[in-house]
Amino acid sequence: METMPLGSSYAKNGEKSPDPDTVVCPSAKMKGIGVGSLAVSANGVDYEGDSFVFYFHEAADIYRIAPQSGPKDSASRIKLIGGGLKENRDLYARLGNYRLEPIQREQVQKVLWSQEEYLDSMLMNNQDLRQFKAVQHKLIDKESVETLYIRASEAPTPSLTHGGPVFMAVGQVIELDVVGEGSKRRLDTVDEPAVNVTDTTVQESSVSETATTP
Amino acid sequence: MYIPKYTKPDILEVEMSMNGRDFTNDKVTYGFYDAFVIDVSPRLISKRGGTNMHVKGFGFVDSGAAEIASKFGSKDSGDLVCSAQSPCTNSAKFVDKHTISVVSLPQSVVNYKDGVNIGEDPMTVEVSVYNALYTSNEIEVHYIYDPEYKKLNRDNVPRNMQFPLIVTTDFHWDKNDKELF
Repeated sequence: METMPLGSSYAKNGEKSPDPDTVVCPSAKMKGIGVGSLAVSANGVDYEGDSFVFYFHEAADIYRIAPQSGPKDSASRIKLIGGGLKENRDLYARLGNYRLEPIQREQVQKVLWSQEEYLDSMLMNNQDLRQFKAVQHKLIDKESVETLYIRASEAPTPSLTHGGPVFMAVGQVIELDVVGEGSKRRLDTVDEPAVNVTDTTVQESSVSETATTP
Repeated sequence: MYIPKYTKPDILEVEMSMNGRDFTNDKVTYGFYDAFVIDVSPRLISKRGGTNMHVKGFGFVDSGAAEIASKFGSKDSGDLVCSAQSPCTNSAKFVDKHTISVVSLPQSVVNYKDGVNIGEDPMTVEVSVYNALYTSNEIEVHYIYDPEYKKLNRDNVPRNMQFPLIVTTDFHWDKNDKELF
């Protein structure tokens, strides 16, 4: 059995560190989705008190975004097409190049699409889609395609992008906490972000490559 | 048949032969016991009792449920009194030759000889495998105030990734000793 230190605390400004008041552990990787529970034991044998109810859900993933470009300083509508995009969960989108701008939860609207609408939304006919396999996400059985609309932030630092592509990501863990007015942002969780970055340059180039070899 | 001298405590199989060549294969065992405790886990036990502790050591034998017993005591004050019984003993279970399983008593019934409750003071766990001959290795365990787990930082995670979960906890540091955790 692996024993992890129980409790942790952080000393601030050279003060004496306060007594530990938290228990930290990583969540488990699961095969399926659904409800689970979390119970804590002080000695590895006795689980006292009520356990916490806990949900495992599909990770957010972007398959495609549309449109793939927009004016730099307007709040244009971007459609995210992907899986695991559930509106009733904490979900964050971010957009940017070096500095990543959070899209607030209030900016997110959910629309459920049928497969047909999904194909239509690609602005390509079925034949095109067959050619452009590189940008298609292969759907597993019962997996649904979900769509979210977000209103894009203003391009954060246009001088850094030089009008080029920016990254787009969704995930549940990019919890950005706005500190003060100077829009200083603190990343609360120090973990691999649960994001799948869609680099539009890569997609564009792969499209043109596959298009030349039909 | 005489039992051969053996230089260390162990559990050995005993098989018989009528001709010196063909032995039985019944896996009947005989144990040379000399109980010695090197560790007890967990060391922190719940006040409500019933914690299943594993006593690790050497020289344990399966001498039957009536013989295997555990004793709780105090390093400084000697035997304890539990439910008007002294020394404070409880049944125990043989697991293997290195492990005996002991169930803790509720904190409320464990007292010093003068009637004062053990509280969070250290308590030794000893075992006996025969004739109430207890070890005297003085491995100590403590009753703790159960921490209260108050809040979880998130109630959902993607199934395929590991996220840090932070449980806000009241460890009752006014009653529990930080060094023990």
